[in-house]
Amino acid sequence: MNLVELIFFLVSGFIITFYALFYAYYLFLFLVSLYGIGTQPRWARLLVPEQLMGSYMTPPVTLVVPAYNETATIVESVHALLGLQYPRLEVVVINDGSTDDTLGELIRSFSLRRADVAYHARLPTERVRGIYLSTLERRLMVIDKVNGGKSDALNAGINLSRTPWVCSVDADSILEEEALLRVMRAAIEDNTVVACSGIVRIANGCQVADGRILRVALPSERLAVFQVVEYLGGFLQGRLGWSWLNGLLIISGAFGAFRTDILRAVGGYARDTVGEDMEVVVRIHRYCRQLRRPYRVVFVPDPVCWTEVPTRLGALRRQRRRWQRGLLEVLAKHWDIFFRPRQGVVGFLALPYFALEASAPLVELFGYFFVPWIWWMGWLDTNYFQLYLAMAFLVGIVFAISGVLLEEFSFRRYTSWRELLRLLFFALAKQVGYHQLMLWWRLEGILDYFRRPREWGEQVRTGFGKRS
Amino acid sequence: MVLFNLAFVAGVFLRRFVKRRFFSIKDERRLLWVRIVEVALEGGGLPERVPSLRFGWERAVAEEVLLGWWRTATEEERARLQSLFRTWGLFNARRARLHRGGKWEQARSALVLGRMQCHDTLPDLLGLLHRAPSEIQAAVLNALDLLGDPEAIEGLVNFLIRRRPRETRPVLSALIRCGEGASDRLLPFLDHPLPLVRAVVAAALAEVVSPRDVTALIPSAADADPEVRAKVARALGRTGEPRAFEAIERLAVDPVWYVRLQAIDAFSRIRLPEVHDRLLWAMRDRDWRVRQKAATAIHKFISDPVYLLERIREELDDRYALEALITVLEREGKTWEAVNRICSPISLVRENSQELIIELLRAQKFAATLSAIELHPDHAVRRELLRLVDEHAGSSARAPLQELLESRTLDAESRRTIEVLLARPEASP
Repeated sequence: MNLVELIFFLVSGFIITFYALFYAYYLFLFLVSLYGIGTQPRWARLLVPEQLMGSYMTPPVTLVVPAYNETATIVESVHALLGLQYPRLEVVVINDGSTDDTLGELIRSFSLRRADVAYHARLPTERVRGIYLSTLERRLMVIDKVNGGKSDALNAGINLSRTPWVCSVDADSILEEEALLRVMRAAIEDNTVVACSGIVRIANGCQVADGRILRVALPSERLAVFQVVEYLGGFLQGRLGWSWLNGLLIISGAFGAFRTDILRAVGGYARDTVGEDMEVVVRIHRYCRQLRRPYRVVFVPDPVCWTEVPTRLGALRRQRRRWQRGLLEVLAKHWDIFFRPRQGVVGFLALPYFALEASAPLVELFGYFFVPWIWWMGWLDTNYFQLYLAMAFLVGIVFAISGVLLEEFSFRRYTSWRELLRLLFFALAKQVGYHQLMLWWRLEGILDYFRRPREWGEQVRTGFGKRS
Repeated sequence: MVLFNLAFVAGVFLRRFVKRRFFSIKDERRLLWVRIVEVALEGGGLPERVPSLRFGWERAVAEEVLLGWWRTATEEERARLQSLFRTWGLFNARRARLHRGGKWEQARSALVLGRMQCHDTLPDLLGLLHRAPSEIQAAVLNALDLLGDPEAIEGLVNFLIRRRPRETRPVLSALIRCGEGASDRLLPFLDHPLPLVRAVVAAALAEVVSPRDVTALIPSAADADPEVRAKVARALGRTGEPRAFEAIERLAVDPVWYVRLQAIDAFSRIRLPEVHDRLLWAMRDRDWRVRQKAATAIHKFISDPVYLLERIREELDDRYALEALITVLEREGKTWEAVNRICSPISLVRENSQELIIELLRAQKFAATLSAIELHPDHAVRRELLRLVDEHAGSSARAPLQELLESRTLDAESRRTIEVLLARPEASP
């Protein structure tokens, strides 16, 4: 065996092992999620909202809502948040140096006045210009601060909160009326829960009025339907599985509740990464494992947060690049806990999985060049390769539609036959074109990681009310 | 693999078809039950033939309808609903499933029986609580919470003793609900040798205590466990009884900070003249959280915030206490009220308001005043506030005033006045 053949052998072995591992992870997560999804909705039906509403155990929660140039949706969002079914609730909106009239809209709509409220900067943030109280709604507070990014805004909100739990909510998202109660149920029932989150679903296409989803429907834009399929897979398959293993590393910034003391103890959201929602969860895992205290980070699939997704390629591209860059930043920051016995599932399973996912675009791209090269060299066994390709494609299809299937087996939010067909079709079609587009953008994200541009991830908002 | 995929997808569609058909049948049945219950609640009799209740799903639909009505029903209607629940055999079916069903069925049955206030199932529920796995325990505890039956107290405490659960909050919640109006049944457990029991019972008592329990509570103020002492302090405060004063006073000098914190909170609930001094004294506590609590608690006693602000500023010089008090004033709208009354025709009201604003300015808390200068609709108010800023704010107001000049909503006259103030080389601000 000469050197070239040896390299060929090693590279082939690496690629096959890589994908075998990847699919093994997927299969494992799918099976775990299937089990979880089979039991979860039934247990969720046991929730008695009126009991939790009046219960001594229901902890007060502060909703922390960072807002940057959200004039179109902010007032409607705040009204909807204040109308959530939850007994002891405060809402803190953080105007992160918006360049539009976000603060003005809030001042006019809620009759805000500036006030001297105790603010202890336990977590360092950019300068807070003022704190506003509403003369109409006592549960609402607004922080006006110098722009510092989403993490910075969240940290400012955490500094002002006085409750044992805080819940981060995106200003452009809509929570279902019982969503907070349902997500906090995990914490009420188990005092080792330190963070919990619900599912994020896509609001594009839904009928919305007064900050409430009136009718669930699939979006008409193809790009948005692809994302619906992706989100279903990501949440119902990935997060449910990781939650079951207590290795959940992502609590969505759009809707995630944390114990305030733990969040403060770990230093709040990191300001030097764009993957702040993942980074903070990894730090929480590290912190709790270091203290050797029993803890859980959980995902509850039935509380729903509806959010708008990009429908233009440019915006989606920016988002995906940012996600990829964020993932790499988190992995680089926490590389020291890979395969550390003390870090358990997080160090041995979860982080390596995300490392595989982060490097998948590179491996796939490499494969696109490697296969033609070995074919040209005459080393490709065509029969074997065809079999491998067929297997990979069919297994890929199963995994692609797995999210849709999990949704169908559990919550069935998309009720019409047409929607189910569309979802299945898009799950299959995702493999051709959309998948490659993502691959390309994620590669760009890898480049971004080395160049490190700084942005808030701005998206053009149309406002739910106007769209409906 | 292709066949497997195709079969799988076909199965999904078939499943959905069957489910949809089933749901529509269930919906029809639900409507039927709604009509029957409506008639029954209006005083009409039951129809001669009620729909079948043979299968589990049929009973579940009927139950759903009853539980749906239960939420908004009056006492009389609830009695009627409960009688329907029993007449239709739903009660017996649930009770049977409590013992023989699967995990989920047991949990669901416990909750249904709890929500329907079936007090006669209490022994069954307590029995299940002691032998059930953890998933069902939570549901049974919820059911006991819903029942709120004082007879369950002993069983709940026994559960604590035998199982020593890691998570005690559901037990506590159930004890609170069961202990409402029956706090005397909780009191004997304050002497239990197990600290866990004492702590949970004391926490429950803190929510349901009545003034007649003071004498029984006082000895527990010297408990060895600080958790218990803190809860007892809270309970003593909740009684509002002057007899509790001495015990709370002892707890207010406890070496553990959170016991002192609860004692300060308790002080604020006892209407005695001596409490003022104790709270003022607590504002010098070594822990900032206790000082903060004292500052906010004292506000309930002394209606004159100016006096308090003066004392904190001049005697204590404590930033935490000062900020805590001002935050309370802001949150309760007192500062905004003072702003609005600053030009009141009633001299006493006007003077009090002015004094409060002056105190805030001296404490270098400018937000409320400057916000009013910027946004208040009354021209006279804005002018008066500017006068007070000029006379009392000092040079530290220069920066916020400078910032205020950047506002687009500031009126021309206020802008000119501020520019004049800032132009002065040495005078305040």
